[in-house]
Amino acid sequence: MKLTPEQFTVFLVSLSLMLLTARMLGEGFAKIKQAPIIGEILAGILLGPTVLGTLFPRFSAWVFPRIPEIQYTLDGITTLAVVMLLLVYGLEVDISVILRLGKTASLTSLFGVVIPFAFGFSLAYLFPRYLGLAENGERLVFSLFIGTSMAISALPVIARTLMDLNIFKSDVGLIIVASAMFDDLAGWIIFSIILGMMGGPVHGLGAGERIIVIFAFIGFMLLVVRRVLNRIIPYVQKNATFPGGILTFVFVLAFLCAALTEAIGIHAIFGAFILGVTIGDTTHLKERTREIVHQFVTNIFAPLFFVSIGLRVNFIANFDLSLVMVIVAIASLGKLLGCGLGARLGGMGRAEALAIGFGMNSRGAMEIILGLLALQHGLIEEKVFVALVIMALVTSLASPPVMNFLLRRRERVSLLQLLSPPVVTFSNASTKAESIQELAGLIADRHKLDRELIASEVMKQEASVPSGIGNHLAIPHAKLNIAKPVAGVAINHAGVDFEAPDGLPAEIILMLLTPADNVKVQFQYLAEIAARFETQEKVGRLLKAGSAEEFLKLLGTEG
Amino acid sequence: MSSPFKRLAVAVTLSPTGHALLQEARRLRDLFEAELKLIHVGRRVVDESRLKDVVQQSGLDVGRLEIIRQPGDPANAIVRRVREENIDLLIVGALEKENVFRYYLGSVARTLMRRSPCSVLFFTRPSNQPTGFKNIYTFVEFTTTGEETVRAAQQIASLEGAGEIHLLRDFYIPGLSLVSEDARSTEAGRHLRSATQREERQMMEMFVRGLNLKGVKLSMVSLYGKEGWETSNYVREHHADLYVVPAPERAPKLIDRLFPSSLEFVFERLPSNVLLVKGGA
Repeated sequence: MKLTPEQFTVFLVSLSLMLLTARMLGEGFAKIKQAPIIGEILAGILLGPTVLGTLFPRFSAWVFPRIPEIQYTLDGITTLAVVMLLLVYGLEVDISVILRLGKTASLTSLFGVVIPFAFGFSLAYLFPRYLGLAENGERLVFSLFIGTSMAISALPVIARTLMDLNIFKSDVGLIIVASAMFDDLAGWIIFSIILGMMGGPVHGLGAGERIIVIFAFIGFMLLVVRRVLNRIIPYVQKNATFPGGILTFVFVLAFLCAALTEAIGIHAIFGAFILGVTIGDTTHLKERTREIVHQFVTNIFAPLFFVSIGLRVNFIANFDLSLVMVIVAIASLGKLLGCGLGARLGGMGRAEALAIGFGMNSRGAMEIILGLLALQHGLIEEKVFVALVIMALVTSLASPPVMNFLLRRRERVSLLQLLSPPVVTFSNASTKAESIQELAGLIADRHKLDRELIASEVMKQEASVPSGIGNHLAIPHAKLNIAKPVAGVAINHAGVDFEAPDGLPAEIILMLLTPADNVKVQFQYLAEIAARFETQEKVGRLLKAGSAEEFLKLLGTEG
Repeated sequence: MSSPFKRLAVAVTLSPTGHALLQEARRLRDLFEAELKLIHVGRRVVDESRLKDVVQQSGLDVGRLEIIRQPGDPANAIVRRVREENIDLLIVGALEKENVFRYYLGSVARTLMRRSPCSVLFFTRPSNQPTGFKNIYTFVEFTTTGEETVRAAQQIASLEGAGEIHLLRDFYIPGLSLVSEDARSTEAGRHLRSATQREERQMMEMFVRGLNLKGVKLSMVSLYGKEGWETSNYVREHHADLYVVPAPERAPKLIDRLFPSSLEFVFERLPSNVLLVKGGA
């Protein structure tokens, strides 16, 4: 079978049309701080039978002819694309992060998998026909699949949202990233088991044996291959041209692993994903290499894949409103409840826990890939696939604005929180000891602490290292037996000598008391304070404050 | 000048580096004005006179050599003696790479890293003519043990007349390269990285200020990459002769060995001579 020159011409035109539309809509969505893949999928729906095929059937038939040769070629490209995509997603799953999840992240990720999975599984098991079990599909396998599709998250979409909201490095951000890594890994492993359970023997391997092989493969890759790669990758990066050498190396390995898992009856993408995880964990892969692999796949192959989704299915003909609503509802409910509960039990506040739930709820690319594979394996009907794609779009669209709303007052307020309601005084103290006594009293009154103890601990610290920082700022501080950090500020226009290196008297005196059992938090605050009062101009502006409230307001707008 | 360690012990071996290790131990004894105990643990009968020869050649007192016969793991016997004798610094020889099994070396070093009740100094390349530690690096950890670690590094540097210590820290933001799909987001990612780097440096400066270290110059480096590995690699590339690190607060488990993180990378492949500082001593 061979494409004629005419067919090939049409094929190239359709490819460029797909890529162009996908990228244009993708860019549009990126502009409004949404994940580009939403635009890319919509592009497919526009170009496919849903819109273009209905409005301009003749043009549609010309540019996307339904002839086997072109279909096969396109299929080959999109399958390759999804293999590469999973490699990229795997690269970002950090085994070390997963193994050392903190309490909050462990609870979040665990509940975030178990509860949505249980929801999806039981619903599908009780009402298989309603949820669209295919004609001769197995009920158990089908229910497992629906459970998995509810449990999976989409790290790439989430990461972008976190970046756009500028909370990548906040507690919420770190918990979401770590939990999403876990959920993705767990999701793909469960899904590969489901694929292993389906169908007859492949190469003499039955379903049970295939599952053993899956785990053996994961173990071998992570324990043995990773160590070997630790030696080979530095060699390749050093001796081959950059980035050509390392790119070839990574992709060759990815295709080989994909071939291996395909051969044993699990899908090719699983091999690519696990290889990604393995390579991502080596210490030697340059950050630049990651970026290049990422950009190459995300900008060319991913859009082609996502746009091809819409070409396969008619989203209007297969649209079943009640099914869509049920799927969106159980998916969101499961994740919000699971992750929210986990985060709450892990000690997060209500708004943060809910924000984590919404962050984890965005399904994006993962859901769509999962759904497509299930569709191709005859596990689900088209209407379920359509519902899953819509669920992925809705959940991804909802996350950023909802998270933004829930976390709107929580950006860079740590120091402000310590000082409000105002623990700020205007002082005339003329000596260091007087000033410290005064602040100790202020803080002791507010937080019901022992004034003398505070003053003596702070003075002790002063005796070993004077706390004058410079730029008219002093940060007298001490570690005490308290549960959480507390602080207070004295504004002293006359100035007090705190032995700053620049010799300037301190006019802003910020006393910081931190728990004795948490050394790190002290330096975090000290560093933040020093950074906020970095220049004389900043300090000068704050000194203009006429009241405690105004001081805090000025502090809030700085930095 | 105060000395960080007062009661030293060295594990005596008949290995090729055994003699050099004793020279190093002797030098440290003099430097710290400390007591030095010699311990040999063996499961088979070694030639005792040869062992004593080695000790004598290095100018140490043979009378202080203690030979413990112990079937099984020599590390356990060392740990027990160290505890009984209230030793505060144990000196051992170690291979740079850990996974090659050798008697006394390698696996014993790792057990000591995990279980030693006191600080341990691992010599990867002990010298017959010790020259002292002139190029000292230390890892900064914001814990009480971390404070003791930097203090120990500073005291050693003062005693050695090293003049400068290099303080290192590394940090990693998981998932960050996922957002680098276009120039704008890559730029945003880089920005976040450098902002974090500034914060890290500022924290280090505050940390060091609080320690009030006198008499040595301090240079501070904050690196981005896999935590623990990046710093360890930096130490290796800069040909350090001593890397001072805090002991982990909880004992590493098998899983940490399979998937090392942070300071375990140091022990997977020692980047130079390493001093592991045990906190709360």
